[in-house]
Amino acid sequence: MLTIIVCIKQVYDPEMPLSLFQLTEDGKLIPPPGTPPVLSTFDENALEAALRIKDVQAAKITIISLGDKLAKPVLRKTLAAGADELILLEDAQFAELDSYGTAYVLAQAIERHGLPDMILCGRQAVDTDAGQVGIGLAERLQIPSVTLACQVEVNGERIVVERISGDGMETVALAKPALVTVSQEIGALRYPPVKALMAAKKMDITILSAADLGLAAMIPQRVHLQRMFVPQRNKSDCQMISDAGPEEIAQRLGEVLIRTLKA
Amino acid sequence: MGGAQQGMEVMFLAEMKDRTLADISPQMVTIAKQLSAQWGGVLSAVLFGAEVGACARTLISLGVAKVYVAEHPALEYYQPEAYLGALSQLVTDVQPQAFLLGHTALGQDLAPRLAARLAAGLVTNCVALQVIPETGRLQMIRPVFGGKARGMYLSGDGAIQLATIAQKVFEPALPDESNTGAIVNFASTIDAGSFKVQVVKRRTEDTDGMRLEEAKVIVAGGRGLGSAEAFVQLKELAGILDGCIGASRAAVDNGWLAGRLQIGLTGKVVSPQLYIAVGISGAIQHMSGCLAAKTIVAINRDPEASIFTMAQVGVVADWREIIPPLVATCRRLLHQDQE
Ligand SMILES: Cc1cc2nc3c(=O)[nH]c(=O)nc-3n(C[C@H](O)[C@H](O)[C@H](O)COP(=O)(O)OP(=O)(O)OC[C@H]3O[C@@H](n4cnc5c(N)ncnc54)[C@H](O)[C@@H]3O)c2cc1C
Repeated sequence: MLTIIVCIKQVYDPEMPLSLFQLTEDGKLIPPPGTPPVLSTFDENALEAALRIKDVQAAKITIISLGDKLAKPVLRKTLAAGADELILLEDAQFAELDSYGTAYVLAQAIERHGLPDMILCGRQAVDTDAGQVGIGLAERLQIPSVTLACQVEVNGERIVVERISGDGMETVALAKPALVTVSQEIGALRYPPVKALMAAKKMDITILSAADLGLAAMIPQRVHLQRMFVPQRNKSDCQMISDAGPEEIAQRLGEVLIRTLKA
Repeated sequence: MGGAQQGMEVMFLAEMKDRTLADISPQMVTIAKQLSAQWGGVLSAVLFGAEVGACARTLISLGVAKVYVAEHPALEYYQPEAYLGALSQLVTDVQPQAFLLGHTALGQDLAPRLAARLAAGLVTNCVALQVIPETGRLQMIRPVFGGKARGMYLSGDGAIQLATIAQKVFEPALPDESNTGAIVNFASTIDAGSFKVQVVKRRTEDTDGMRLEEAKVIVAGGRGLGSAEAFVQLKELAGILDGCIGASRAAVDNGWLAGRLQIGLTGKVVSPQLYIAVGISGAIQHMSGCLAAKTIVAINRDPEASIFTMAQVGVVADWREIIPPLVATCRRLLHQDQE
């Protein structure tokens, strides 16, 4: 049976307005207390890609999520949507890893679990937008990888990926095992039926700490996040064209447009 | 190769497009030059492809002291394994302080691979970089939370620091024919037969002959347009102004326009003279793709829409009442001009 691992990160809701966040003295942005995290949307797209494969062939989907204070009810949604197994890598040490450290721990966990036929990740996390962990993980595991998939199919030993390239689209093929990062074009994660949501609450999940993974005291990292800040955005002086009927407004706007182009 | 200047180079990957330097390359020169001056080192570039000689000379005129050139048929199109093999070999030999790539389609794909291969740190989509004088470390600033906030990062000990440079943030360097520099050919062994990823089909998308990134005028539509048909009117306006149409993610998600026309964080980064946003609310993930436009014009029926805090010209109205007479006005004004 085809085995797939999907790596999923929990994040603060990217749609939450900045004004709700609090900027701490040491330069951390924290959401209002009690707001539940969400699954990073591109990781949800990756899970959807896995589920579409499972729709047409026998497949076992394992979710791995890494972090500290993971929100189990939120992550269980992946089981309700159709994943078979949920593994949480949870440890205080995993709270603020850089991309390098994250790929390091994920690789360690996947090696212990056994390399699947395919690993799927979101194209980037919706909080940091760094876009490094997926590829870094593939390099660590020494398996080939393809980014920005908008369609993924598995035909026997071959994985065929439709991907976004610099100036168009590309179809690429590679042999299993491989890692694919998924873009939003693949479509949103299906909404699980209520019955599945109930059933997912009772499913067993695996929780592993740094010690369980046999990780040394220090997880290697490369870059250090000093602080976050909110950039001063100069509010533009927006010249409003108003107080007239549509025809008149269009006339004045048209004049502005043409003048701008000539400037 | 390398040796003499070991550890003191700032290197970047120059990108080409249709046998000339891609827009990002002169922008890279600007920031890489600043960093090499701060470190007191040499500025060098890497060029891959076929017939790269003219581009190498252009880079020298822009102020690059050393251009490493690898010409190979397998390097003409971006192929991750070919580029990764050739680059990791070169960077390992030269051991620069820092290696920069553009935050382009190519750079976004290649930089994480290179970082992993070199076991180096990488910070992507940097909008500001500087060398901390006391420690010689590199400080990098990048947007986080979809552009709502910025993160400030510091490079670690010893290892080479990698960074990708945000598009359209740094002014392009200007050529000066009196600049001199060296072109260094480096041989790279590329065995195309060993590539694990095979490109089966490549389709460059039909963009009506114009690329969004190069357009002088962009008329972009969002969820407020309400339908795919509505874009016909935007297309008409764009046509008259000799521009392109674009879209917000909401419009793309609704299937009204192709994904390649999406502007923003996960779409294209554009910098036209004129950006006309119609029925777009101004979410930061959208605006981070178009804030480099000279003039942003917003048409939105909600006076509270956040786009009005970022636009230079605004109209609070239903676009359906404005666009048709606007098309007529522009046509008339431009027509008058020709007479
Ligand atoms: C990780 C991440 C990445 C993202 N990347 C991108 C990206 O690359 N690009 C992008 O665009 N978005 C991106 N988004 C989504 C972004 O946050 C917004 O959801 C999106 O830009 C909203 O699109 P919109 O402005 O068209 O729609 P809305 O926010 O729904 O705004 C529609 C606007 O139309 C106006 N309107 C409605 N009817 C009319 C009318 N008849 N006349 C005039 N005005 C009207 C309304 O007043 C409203 O302001 C991303 C989000 C995330 C989380």
